Amino acid sequence: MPMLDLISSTGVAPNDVEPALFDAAVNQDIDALHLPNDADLSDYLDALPRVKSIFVDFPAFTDGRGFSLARLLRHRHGYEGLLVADGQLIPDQFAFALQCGFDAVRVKRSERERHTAEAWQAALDAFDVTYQRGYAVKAGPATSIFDARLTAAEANKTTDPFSA
Amino acid sequence: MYRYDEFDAEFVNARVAQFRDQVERRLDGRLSEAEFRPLRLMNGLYLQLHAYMLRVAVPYGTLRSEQLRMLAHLADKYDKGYGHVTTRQNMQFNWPVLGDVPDMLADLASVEMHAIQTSGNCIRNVTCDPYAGAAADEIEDPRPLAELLRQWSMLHPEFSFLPRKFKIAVTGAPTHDRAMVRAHDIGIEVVRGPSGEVGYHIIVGGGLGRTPIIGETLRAFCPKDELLPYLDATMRVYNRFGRRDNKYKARIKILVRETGIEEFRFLVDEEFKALDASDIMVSQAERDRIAAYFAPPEYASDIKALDLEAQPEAFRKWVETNVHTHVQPGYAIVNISLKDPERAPGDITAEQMRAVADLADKHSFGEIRTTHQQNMVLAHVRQDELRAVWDGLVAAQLEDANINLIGDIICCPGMDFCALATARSIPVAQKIAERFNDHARQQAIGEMQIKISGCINACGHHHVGHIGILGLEKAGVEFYQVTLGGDATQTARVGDRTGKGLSEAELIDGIERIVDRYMDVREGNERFLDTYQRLGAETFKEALYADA
Amino acid sequence: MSETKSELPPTIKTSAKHKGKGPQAMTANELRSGLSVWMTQDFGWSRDYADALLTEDDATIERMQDVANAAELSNTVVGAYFIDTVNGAPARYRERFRTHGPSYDTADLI
Ligand code: SF4
Repeated sequence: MPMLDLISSTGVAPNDVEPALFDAAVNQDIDALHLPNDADLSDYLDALPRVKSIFVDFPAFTDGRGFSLARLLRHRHGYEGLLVADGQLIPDQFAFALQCGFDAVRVKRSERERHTAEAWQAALDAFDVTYQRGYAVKAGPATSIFDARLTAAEANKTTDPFSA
Repeated sequence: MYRYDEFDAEFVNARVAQFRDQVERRLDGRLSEAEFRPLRLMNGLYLQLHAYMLRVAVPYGTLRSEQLRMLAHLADKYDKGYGHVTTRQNMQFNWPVLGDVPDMLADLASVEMHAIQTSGNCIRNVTCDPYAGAAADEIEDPRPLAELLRQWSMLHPEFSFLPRKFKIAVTGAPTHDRAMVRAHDIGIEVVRGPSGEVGYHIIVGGGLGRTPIIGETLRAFCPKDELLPYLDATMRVYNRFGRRDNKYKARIKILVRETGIEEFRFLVDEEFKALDASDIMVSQAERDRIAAYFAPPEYASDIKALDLEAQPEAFRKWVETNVHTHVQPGYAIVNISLKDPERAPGDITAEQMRAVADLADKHSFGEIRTTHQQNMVLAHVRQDELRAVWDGLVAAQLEDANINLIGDIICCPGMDFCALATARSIPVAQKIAERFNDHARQQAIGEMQIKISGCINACGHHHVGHIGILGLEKAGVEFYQVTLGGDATQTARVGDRTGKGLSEAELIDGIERIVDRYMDVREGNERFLDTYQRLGAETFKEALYADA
Repeated sequence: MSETKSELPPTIKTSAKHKGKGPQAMTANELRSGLSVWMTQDFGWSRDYADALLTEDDATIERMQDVANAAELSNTVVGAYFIDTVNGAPARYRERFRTHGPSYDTADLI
């Protein structure tokens, strides 16, 4: 098995977890769950409170299903454990991953020569703003433009004594 | 027209910097070609048959004069002095080099333009009725909606790696669809609801390509504020369940067809009910803010009637074919034909771009439109200034009077430029245009849309041409397949295949025989399409193959 | 743990593959300019097809493949692939077309 690194907005950590496929019969805490990107989440809902980390499979970096799964796990199903995008994502997708709800990506150590820790960090700094509401994140594009406009309009109102 | 605020500007500048960094990393190998390819495509950069090609977004086909001048500047500085208007209202440049592209994007950003999402498996640049805001038959100007969609879809974190490309088109005039909304992944018509309120009719699963399908109603009436959440729901269903095993089956139309429209609608509705709409929808205040940019211009009321009798014949002919009714009395919509028979359909030189920009400044509130028929439009021209506009167009050699006539051919770049092509399309368009170059004859034939694609991907929309032509190749020889009776409007229909393919020479003669047959059998002023529908395919097939 | 070459992730695999018929030529596009190039006798690249190396010799073909892979990995060319030739010209219509550029270009009228 190749060496893997977990890359989060706060840094890089070696990782030797082997996430396991879901087994409905097992009724104890699940440390690391492997989630295929075509999973039917309804099969997992009962077990979700027992899961500590979920590794969503990205068979190719161009296969964006995992982004929707992350969004659903976070926003629809209230999953609050560790959520990892597991596959050969590239730094240019890092912000998207965090915006959809991932905490980290897991990539091969061998790829880190080309995609250094700095490259991953720089990708997060590329944008301060995002258009989509509900997809702004502290560590990436921190502000939704639509919301920022509202705030700016409100601020204008209160600072301008002549505006009705 | 919409103007960027500080946030839009910041976003687009950040995008330029990001792409500059991506190009640098590609050049020094930190990005492999396999990694870079989707990234550059998402920024409109293709590697074509002979060179790179940059496709610049013309958001919903609207340009300010300074933006068109910037496109002219790009053509001169980084390309070979011309640009090409595409069937999705964008402008592409055929010869840029990789290292220049970040500078081109920076130049574009300086006039509030970009190349974001003009390619790639993401939500593409939204297209729109080119007469928006000027058409008499419009329920409401669709441009504010198009701008909202532009912003909502920009670098969408969840929907940038879809199974396949995703095209949205909008129109405010459902009775005269000039945006082909039924041939898009999603088409949106502005409609009135049961109690007269304005909302949207959402059509899904249309598209051309190797499996042409006319879109079906997904939701007959979507209230305005629900639109973004509803589209989010639709995109999520597509992103999760669209096929990824076969790129030819990955468009949403195949998902809709394989799932069935009822079941697909059910899936979207379930998703829509479950999502937190308040997280996605934008406020009324924001929608009003955007709409304010598209308020009608300050029309004059002192406009003298145009005395056509006193004008030269060439001008009168041009008015008859290229000028369209405007919603405001005294004004007119001017179509500028980019269909010089000797040029590639849709091509325009830098010099001509500047001439059009000047005319727009003088006569049309500084605003220009591009059309999916690969022409341009000056949307608000005083009727008493039509002659001055025409004089300017004559000086720029842009006075072709052939809008919607047989010379107004839609044509993709084909084998001359495109890496995917199976045959050339530009020379075919030129030969047809030359064959029918007589204006009186074109006029007599009347409305006729010939559409040519250089391969099955159908960028030239051949399936919905009154006469559609598809270029193929066998054993080193180009040949052409003809479809008849296609319709790109609100009565959209995929044309019927006639039969075996023809050589280029046979094709041009065959088309002339089809046209002659039509002239023989038509009743009154019936359009070709109506005659075709009345009589069926047989007589025209017979004419096409009469020589074979 | 070490990785062998065959474990290279798909994101940096090169595309050249030989499965053609008759004399082979190798073509690609320059990364920087995007222009079409063909591999030459001395295993460099030329923008002119007339300079192309055509061969049926297996050892040479193997060498061409290696050179093309190396050129892709060193970021000089992209999308290298073999083409079949007949009587000195590319066999496929598209490839013949590619050797002489567009038959029409508005640039020529300006
Ligand atoms: S229809 Fe084919 S040849 Fe024409 S532009 Fe599209 S992909 Fe290229």
